[in-house]
Amino acid sequence: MHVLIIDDNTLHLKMCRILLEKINHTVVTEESLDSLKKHTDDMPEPDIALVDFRLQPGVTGVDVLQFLKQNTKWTNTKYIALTADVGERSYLDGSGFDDVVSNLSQKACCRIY
Amino acid sequence: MSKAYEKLRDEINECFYQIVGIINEIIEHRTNTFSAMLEVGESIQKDSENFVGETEKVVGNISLNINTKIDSLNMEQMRSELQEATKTFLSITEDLELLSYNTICRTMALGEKGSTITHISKEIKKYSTTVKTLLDDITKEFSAVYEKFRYIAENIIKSDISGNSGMLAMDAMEELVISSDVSVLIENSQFHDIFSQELEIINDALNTNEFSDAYEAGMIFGVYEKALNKLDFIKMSLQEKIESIQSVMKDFIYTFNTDLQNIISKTNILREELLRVESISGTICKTIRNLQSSIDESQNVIHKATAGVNNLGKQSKTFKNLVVVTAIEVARINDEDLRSVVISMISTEKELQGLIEKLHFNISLWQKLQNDFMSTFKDAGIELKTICDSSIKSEREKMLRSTYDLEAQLTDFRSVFTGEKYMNYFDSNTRRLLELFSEFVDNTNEEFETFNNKLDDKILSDEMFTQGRNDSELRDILASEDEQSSIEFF
Repeated sequence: MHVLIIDDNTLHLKMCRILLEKINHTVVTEESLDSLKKHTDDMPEPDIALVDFRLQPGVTGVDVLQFLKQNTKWTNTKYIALTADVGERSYLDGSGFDDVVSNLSQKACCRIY
Repeated sequence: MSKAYEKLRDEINECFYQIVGIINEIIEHRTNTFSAMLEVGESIQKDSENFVGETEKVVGNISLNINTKIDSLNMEQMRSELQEATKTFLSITEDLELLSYNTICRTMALGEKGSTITHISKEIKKYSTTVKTLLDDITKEFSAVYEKFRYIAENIIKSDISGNSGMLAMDAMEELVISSDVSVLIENSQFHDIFSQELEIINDALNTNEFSDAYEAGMIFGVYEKALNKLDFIKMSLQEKIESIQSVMKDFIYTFNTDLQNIISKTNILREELLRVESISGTICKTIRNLQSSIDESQNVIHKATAGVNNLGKQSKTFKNLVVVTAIEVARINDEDLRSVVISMISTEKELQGLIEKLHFNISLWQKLQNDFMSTFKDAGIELKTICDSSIKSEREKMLRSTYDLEAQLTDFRSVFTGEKYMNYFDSNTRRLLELFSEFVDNTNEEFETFNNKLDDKILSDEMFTQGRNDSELRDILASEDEQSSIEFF
């Protein structure tokens, strides 16, 4: 499975990469919307895109979702929002993501896949 | 004040305590449970780094020593020496066979005169067969020695201990930045004190509605007016304070969740690093043990080859004796043709001697090489104890278990500490608090209304009433909150 993760927390990115690669998934990580914009043309369509809600100041996971939906021809990708903010969940529920996951841990990773 | 009014005040206070309780519970989680888990996480990281560092150092040493030996092991030279020896074996066996047939043919032609030499020629034939078998065996034994060393050399290269050693290094772990700051919650944990005190002041001030003259009535009237104005201000301040605390709590829970997430991430990364190191260490230990046993076996092969060459040495003495006996007999019967046979025998005997010396030399070189390997792998074995021993394995397993335990603790903690639960609880309590507060204001208004109805026009128009109204006082805490707050923050 191809997994794309966009998160500004490098520790979290590293953990996800290690855990997912261990179970033979292909992982691409991006730390910001800007770097994602530079690389989307060369990216294969992921099966799942995990998008952190709080990115750099002024950029949210919803901006990432909109960018990907408008600028790629990805039709089968499932978009999952990640958040540690209790107040964001209800907002994210109606924002176009296929699912919202809070508190991503190893168990959550395994649940997703 | 009515009983209902006091009950309302108590309910408000109870609500304050509930909210403060929520804040304190979060503070408790952050300062005790979380800090303890953080400490365990740091200790796991320190132990893992020490362990991985030590393993890397040991494997690096072993790999350096073994690689030095491999560099000095010239397999190509061993192979060409073996080929050369085999070629010499073939040439000697052919010479001996030829000699024996040559001698037999020549002695048969001599008839009775050559009866002794005929017997010698049969001995040469017998010797030729023995040496041929012996040389075949030595060829096999030397090939076995060569194969053993080739196997050792190839397996050291294939196992790539130095490559594995490079993989043992732990990735530099990013510094864990704990962003949740509990002081901001502590700062807000006593927010209710001022509001409770204000209510108490209003409660005390409005304690009586009884008056004996217009001045007293004016005082009570004035206090009501001031209290109602004050209540509006308190309500507004309370709303602002609650919104501010709500925002602080939301931020705190977000950063706290991020901190928890980071500890989980770090624990998972450490565990994977430990598993990787465990797997590499296991492979290295197995490889070294296999090589050690191959090197032990190589000693047996060298022993066999040495025994073969020693046997050949003994046989060469027999051949030397045959050469001497043949030379004497040839001199006795004085046969010119047989003299050339003796010359050939002397030449073959010399070649055989040269070969035996060369073989002994080769064996001594191989024995030296074997001793070198034995010593290197003996040292490696001693060093490997620090990574292959079962006690170390159990220490490594203990570290791994700690990472699983910590993750389980963090997961359990997360099920207890859910931001949503606290925010919902906080929201419902603050909603209730504001409702109660509004009720308190309404009640005060009603009480004032009731009191006001008791006042007739005569009292209201009395100058003393106005005087009392103007003289009325209500102590103010909120207006000078900064000066009066007794709580020292960070």
